[in-house]
Amino acid sequence: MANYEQELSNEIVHYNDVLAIIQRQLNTAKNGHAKSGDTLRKTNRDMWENASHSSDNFDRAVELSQFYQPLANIIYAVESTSGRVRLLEQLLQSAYFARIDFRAEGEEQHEMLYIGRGTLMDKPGNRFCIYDWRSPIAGLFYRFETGDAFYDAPGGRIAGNIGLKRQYEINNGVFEYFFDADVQISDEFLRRMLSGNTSGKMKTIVETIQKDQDIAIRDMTHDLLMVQGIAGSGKTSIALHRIAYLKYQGLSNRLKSSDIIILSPNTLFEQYISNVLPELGEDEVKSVVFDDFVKSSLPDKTTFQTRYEQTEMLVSCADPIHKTLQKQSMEFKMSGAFVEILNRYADSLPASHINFTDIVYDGRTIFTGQYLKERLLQMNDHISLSVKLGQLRRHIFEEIHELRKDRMPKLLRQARDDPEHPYDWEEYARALSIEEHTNLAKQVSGFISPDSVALYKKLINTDGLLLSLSEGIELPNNIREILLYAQGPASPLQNEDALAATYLQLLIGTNELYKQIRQVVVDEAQDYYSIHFEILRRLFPNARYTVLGDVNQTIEKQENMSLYERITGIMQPESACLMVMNKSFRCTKEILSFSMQFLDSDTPFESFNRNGDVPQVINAADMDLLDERLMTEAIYSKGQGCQSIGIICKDVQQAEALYDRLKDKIALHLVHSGDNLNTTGIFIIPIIMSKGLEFDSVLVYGADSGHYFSDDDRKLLYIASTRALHRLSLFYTGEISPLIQGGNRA
Amino acid sequence: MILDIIISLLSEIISTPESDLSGRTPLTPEYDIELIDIAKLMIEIEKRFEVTIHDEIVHTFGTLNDVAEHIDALISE
Repeated sequence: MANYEQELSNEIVHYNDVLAIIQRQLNTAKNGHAKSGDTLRKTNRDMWENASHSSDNFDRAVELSQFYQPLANIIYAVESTSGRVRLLEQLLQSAYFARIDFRAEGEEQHEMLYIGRGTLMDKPGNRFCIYDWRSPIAGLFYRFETGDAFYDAPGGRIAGNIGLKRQYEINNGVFEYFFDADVQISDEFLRRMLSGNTSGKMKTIVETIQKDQDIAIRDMTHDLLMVQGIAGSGKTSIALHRIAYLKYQGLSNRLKSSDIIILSPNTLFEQYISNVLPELGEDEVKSVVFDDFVKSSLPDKTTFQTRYEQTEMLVSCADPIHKTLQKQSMEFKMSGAFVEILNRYADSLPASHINFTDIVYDGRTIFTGQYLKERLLQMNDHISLSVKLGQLRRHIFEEIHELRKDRMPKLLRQARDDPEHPYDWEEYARALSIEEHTNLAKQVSGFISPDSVALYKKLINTDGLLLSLSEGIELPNNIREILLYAQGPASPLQNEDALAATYLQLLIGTNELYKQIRQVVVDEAQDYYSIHFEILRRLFPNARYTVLGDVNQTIEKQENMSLYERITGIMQPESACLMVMNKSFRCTKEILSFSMQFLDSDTPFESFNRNGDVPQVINAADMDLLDERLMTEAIYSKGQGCQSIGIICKDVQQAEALYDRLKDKIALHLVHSGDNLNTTGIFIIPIIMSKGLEFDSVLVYGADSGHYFSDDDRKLLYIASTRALHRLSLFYTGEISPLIQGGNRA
Repeated sequence: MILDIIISLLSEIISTPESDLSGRTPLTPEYDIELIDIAKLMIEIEKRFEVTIHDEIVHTFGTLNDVAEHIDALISE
């Protein structure tokens, strides 16, 4: 480029101008921060122009024309001073990352548009210095090359022409270089980003969002957006950037952080993603694991096996007969068929499974059990059982309150005659009444407050009950065995039983806990079963869903694309959409090609063109020698500049044993469930915990035929291998797993 | 404060200094609060706040905080 130097000096002049504006506004914002009351309000008003859309405190609605064309677009945005300070400080570090020159139809000249993490204007209502990456016009950058282009502004579609696409590397406030891109987000730029080392936490990808990722991130039309993406295609990044985008879009309808919930596969993952939204200038969003829902739905102190314990138990189960039964039990109890049985059971509760007893007060029966049951059965079908029972309770006590007027004089006489209460007989009469009512209240509670866990146990433990509810439903052949399996040691509940009880509770009871949630993001959807989605639908009746998964990354389960049809069938959205992403950005070409051998040969995939070493398959004569070779590779990886190194084991026991042997020889960490994920170092981690995470170098330990032989194991090997960014090696002693072909043998 | 008033009422009923009572004081015989004392407390509260406390509710009061909460709800009805 002949005039690169000239362009560079222009860009640097421009950059310094923008920096000065940021600095000035930052000073004002910080001063404003220190002031109070009216002064602060005034400053807020003066500062409205650089709203970054990160705040919930819309204390004043201001009309803000946010877009390139003078569109009548109104965004109600004024944010808290602290949010603005945070954004400006980020802009000071990295003001923008791209520029497009766009000429709208009918305009004479191209206009230069700079794109960054938030909006910056030089003066109120004046000129945009930086456009937020989420603004409609910034979509041009992600979706088009130079040439004809358009974007959808709130006022309609704007067509035009892109004359230039340019990207910048600005780090720690220093303008490093720029380059012009003629292809979508220059591959070179992306390659540089991808070839960097992974940090302990997930990073933002605003600079390198790809076209189809961008479509998913900005989708506003579907209630249920599902993304099937192969390992490393950026599903989780999409989910998080989508949240940032939705919040930006939500300015006018006030989508708050508390309206959004992310369902993570485990707590380790929760921490891993915790940095992304704050880096995008948004508040952290509540992230939960499914067990949290179970816990909040079941009676206090109910103990149950966690989802993690359930999967770990399956992965590590050595007895094939036991394992098969365990799996059958799980699959049945989390299936649509079982959900239907629970539906029927819940419907039959008032007529058949609640023991109504006669209510006796003041010496006479005021309601018979039969009357109470009939009254309940006659109530409106559209309200939940718990509401109906609440009404029944009120009905009973309203009658008792009336009768109490005649009862009290009798109690007073009785109390006056009691020689033990000569001075406080009136109060004593009240005490007697309280005692009577307490007994009645306890009796009524017996049938008014159904215990979902007890009712569920009754369903499973009563001979023939489940069968009587399964007309027309196909049951597993060994249903008796499955039911007996659950009747083992009573406490704690197996995870699948806890889920079923939770579902039952949601059918019986009212659920107000999550009514306000409007957006639910489900990650690693392939690990959930029908009952999980049935529970979600009832927990979040007012939400829209973003569901991300990879049918190939299952644990102890086989899945295919029909998963997404099942999800759509359960969630019943007004409109649903499935996007498929087959391009992996995480692994090198060699690692991805190697990993694909674990999937069906017709699984489509595309790797980003980044090369590295061919994965190694390393053998040793015995375990001690294997440990040596494992350590050698870990140290070599470190020497090659790998900062995070993951030694992945099939299950927790294997991980613990390996850790015990190596811990005195080499510095490493054993990753436990619920741990804090460190940034750099060597980690030993079981496969289930490694889901969604990535390491610069991955060492798969124990890849022998005893550990990996079944179809389910294939998926585990796929998950383990695709955690690697740059290096992958597999270690075994004895006979190699028959599932592994190719690689450099050593 | 509703709770302060309830504490002072109970303090008089069971002859215990107010400083020994708090919102977390459990309404149980282990704390020298018998059913008759609870009945007295309910009567006093009804007079003081002009409310009706239904007898079937009383056993759900674990602590003075629970009582205060219930009275608060009754008043704001």
